[in-house]
Amino acid sequence: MTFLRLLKLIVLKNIREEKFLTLLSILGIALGIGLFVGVKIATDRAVISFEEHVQGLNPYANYEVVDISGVDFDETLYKSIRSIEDRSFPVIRVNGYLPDRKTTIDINGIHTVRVASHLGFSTDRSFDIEGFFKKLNAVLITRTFSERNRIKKGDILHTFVYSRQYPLHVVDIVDIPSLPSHTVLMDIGNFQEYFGKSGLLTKIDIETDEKTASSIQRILPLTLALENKQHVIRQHESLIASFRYNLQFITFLAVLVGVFLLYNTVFISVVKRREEIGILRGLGTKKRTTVLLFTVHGLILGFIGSVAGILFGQIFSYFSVIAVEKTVSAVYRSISIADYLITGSDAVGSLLLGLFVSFCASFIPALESAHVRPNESSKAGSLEKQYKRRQKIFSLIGLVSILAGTGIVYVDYRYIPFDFPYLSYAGILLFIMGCTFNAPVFLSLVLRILKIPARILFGAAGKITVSDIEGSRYRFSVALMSVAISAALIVALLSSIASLKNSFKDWLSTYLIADAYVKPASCKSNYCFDPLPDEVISTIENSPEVDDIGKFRALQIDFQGQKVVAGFGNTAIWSKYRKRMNLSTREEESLQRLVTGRKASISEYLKVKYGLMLGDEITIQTPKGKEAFTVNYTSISYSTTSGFIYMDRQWLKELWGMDDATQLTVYLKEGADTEQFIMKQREQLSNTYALNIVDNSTLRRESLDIFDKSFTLTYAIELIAIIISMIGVINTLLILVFEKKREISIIRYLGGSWHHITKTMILSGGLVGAAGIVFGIIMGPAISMVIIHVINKISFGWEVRLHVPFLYLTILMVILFLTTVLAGVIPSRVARKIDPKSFISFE
Amino acid sequence: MIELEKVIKCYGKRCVLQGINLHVERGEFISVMGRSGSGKSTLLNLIGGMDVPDSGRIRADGEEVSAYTDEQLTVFRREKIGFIFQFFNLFPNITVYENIEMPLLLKNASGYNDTIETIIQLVGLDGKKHDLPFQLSGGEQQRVAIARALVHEPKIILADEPTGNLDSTTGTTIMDLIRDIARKDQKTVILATHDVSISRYANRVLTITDGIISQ
Repeated sequence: MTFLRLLKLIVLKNIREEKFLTLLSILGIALGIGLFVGVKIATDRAVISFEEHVQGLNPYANYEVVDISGVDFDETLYKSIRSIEDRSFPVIRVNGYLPDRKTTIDINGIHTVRVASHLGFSTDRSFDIEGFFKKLNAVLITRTFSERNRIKKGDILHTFVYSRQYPLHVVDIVDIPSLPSHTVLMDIGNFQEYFGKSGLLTKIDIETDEKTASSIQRILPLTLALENKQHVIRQHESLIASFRYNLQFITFLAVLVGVFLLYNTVFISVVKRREEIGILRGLGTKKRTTVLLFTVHGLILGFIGSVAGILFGQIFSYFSVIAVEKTVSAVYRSISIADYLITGSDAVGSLLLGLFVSFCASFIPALESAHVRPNESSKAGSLEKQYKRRQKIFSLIGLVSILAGTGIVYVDYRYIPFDFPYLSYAGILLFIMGCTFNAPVFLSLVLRILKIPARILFGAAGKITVSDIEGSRYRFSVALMSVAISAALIVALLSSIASLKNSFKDWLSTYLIADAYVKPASCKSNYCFDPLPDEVISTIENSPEVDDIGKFRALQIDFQGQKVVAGFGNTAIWSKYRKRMNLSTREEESLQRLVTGRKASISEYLKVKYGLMLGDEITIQTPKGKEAFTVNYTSISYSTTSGFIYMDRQWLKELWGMDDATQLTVYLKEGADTEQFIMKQREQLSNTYALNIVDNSTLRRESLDIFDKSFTLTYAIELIAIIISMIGVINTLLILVFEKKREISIIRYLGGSWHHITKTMILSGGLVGAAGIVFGIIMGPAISMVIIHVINKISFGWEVRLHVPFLYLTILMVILFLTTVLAGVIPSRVARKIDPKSFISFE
Repeated sequence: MIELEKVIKCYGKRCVLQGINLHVERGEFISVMGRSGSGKSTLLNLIGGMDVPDSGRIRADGEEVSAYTDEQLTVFRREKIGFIFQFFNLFPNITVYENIEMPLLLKNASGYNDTIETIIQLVGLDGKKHDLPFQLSGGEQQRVAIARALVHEPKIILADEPTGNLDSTTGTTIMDLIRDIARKDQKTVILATHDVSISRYANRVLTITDGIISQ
């Protein structure tokens, strides 16, 4: 009861008095939490979308039979499997693309009668069952997909499927919550007939026990595998784990900026209530009560901020979902995320995170209240003095943190103890913590350097600004850190993205050497497994302008229990044009050797993940059993993050029994006009086929476009980090105004105008902003190096050369600086409301 | 030098000054006495341009101060007024020299190093110019405040209980200092005090009672 009374008198009163400051702290936490929640929802939903995709139409199916290469297989096996387990359901599946709506769909041919009960088709829900069976192109779409794309019953969807365009007739709209929204259902018979896939299946879902599964396993040929769905789901999850957690970590840094805000607010609350705390202690209040009071203050703000953050998160999640859907669809596999609503457990998780960070942010300043002696008078600077005394210890802790952070990042870089860069993340956090502890020393140094220039340039305002900041440098250090983290985040992310983009451009220059590229128009991911029709290949091959064509076939293969992409190309043709690739002599030799013997080229990701070296032997599961290949070449693969193995086409024919191609690379004769050639091919083939035929520069442009879109979310995170740091500076300057009312009044008495006060505030914001940016520019490259050389390498196996986009960084730093300068405007307006007479007593 | 004519100042329904008339000559040392809340500070604020009267006129050094805008009042204070406060009101984070320098900085003055050195000597703070306020005794802090009030050579000094926070010996020294400087430079001093012994330094003692001034 006493505690509640004290809470009301000390904490709630403070909240009421400092409404704007409280609002800013809440907003800072809300933006940080909101961003974190938004991105978490989007990435979590991407995983759920994978799960739904794997789970398919039958929620009870726990196994699936699939081809080990990810292609369709002969349906005759279905009868044998059904004879062992009746609860088996055949499915044929393909991705389609709706050019009008620029969206991908997942077309599923289902055994309608057998899955009717799972899909909830019942007599009380009458749908056009007759039309569904009778019309060859009849499809059912989900309610969410129909609403999202404004498609209604009876509409015709012009869809790119395989290498053609097909009209699909929407006969009904179904409500099946377990289905991914972009699922389109067809009767299996209609599907096979309509798309020319008679006698083929993509998978057989089976609901069975382990023992029966073993029996089924025994009858499967080498080309097929019985996979446990949970295992497949875990594999899918691991595919985007790096993408998912890297994004979440970046947003967590934005939460950290919000934490500094809250820290500052609780800190000032302790400073302001110092006299009251002293009186309370004199009256017998225990230390732990005062600590609890201020911790609860932080928790109250954290709670409100987190709740607001969850609401913000709902908005962010909508946009994050769009960005994540695009990135995952381009780099991993086509997904559709319709659900972006925050669930109860998401909300509780976010609230707990908000409360945890609020506790961390408020506990340290709350502990300060325990150091207030009962006889202590109100002295705003006394806490600063305490900090000054402890600075040596803080600096030492900071230095140890930086060294520890560097050490564990090195361990991650050198030994890669985990699949995921946990140590690097911890290292970055330790590094930031170390910098935070040393921020006051850095600020002092900056002030020492700027003291004379500030006075010369800005006169009284310059002197007052420098002395004010020096007098409250620990508090200003917190503002400095919020700017510094934002700046560091911008420097680190922009440098990483620019480095990645530059390396990607180099990679495109090296490996995209053909004049034109052909693939099915339905293929929107980097790799698709549906082959081009033979007629297309022969038409292009026989064109008079064509010198050579390279047939490329992508397959999914099993490598050490993980699904990776295998690419089979005409190495000899590639080698013929190798001069266009700017390879070193050694690389050229390695490339040529790929043609001879069982040689393979692997991506850096596989090299890092499995510790493979040149000359090592790898075993690959093929339809003819396990086959050994020697690693002859390693290259970076930016087109997939799940590992890539390149082999010559001779092995595709010999071991997989295939000779088709999913993509064509076209080399034209000297003097041939690429543009005219492409026009001619389009004219010749567009009546029958839906193809994507582009020239080299268009493909490069499209690839870079996908790259840029993949980082849209990162740019949004940067923007919000800037906003939060701006709030951080406003927060600190407001605190300065509240604390320096007396000094502001003296200036007025001495003949200082409001213009002087405004100038002081704006200068304070600018100075802290500039110092924070400089600190961030020091921190940023260090974080960037960790992201590029350790996190990137462990997560994606991407070897990236550092490239700093100086121009962009300068522009962004100027914007950040201007926002901190602008941040001084609001506090200067608050300062104008001060009545100097109230703070200078004449009696 | 200073002239108040039928000056009325009210805060809400309470009128602190009710038609004050006052004439102060250049170089005069006036002491204003009165109980707490009698209107002494309001009077000093009005003369110092920190406040404006509800009615009546205030003229200082030939200027119609009561008609000034906030900006003009700021310039007026900067040029013509020196304030000395009971609680010194020094900037805590800057040195003695920098505190004294502040009014000159606000005026955008330059080449004033000798002026500051002279005034530091005058107030007896040699060897203390690099000290921070908390390193000084109360008397020394008030000397800094006096130096700051005088450094820009104002014509009018407004002092609030300048010895109110000091022991009697130091108080006497400080008052001697104010009197000597004021006399030497022909400054007009208006001093608000409760202390009768301090009021003896003045040429003229005024008392404010119920918003009315009496001699």
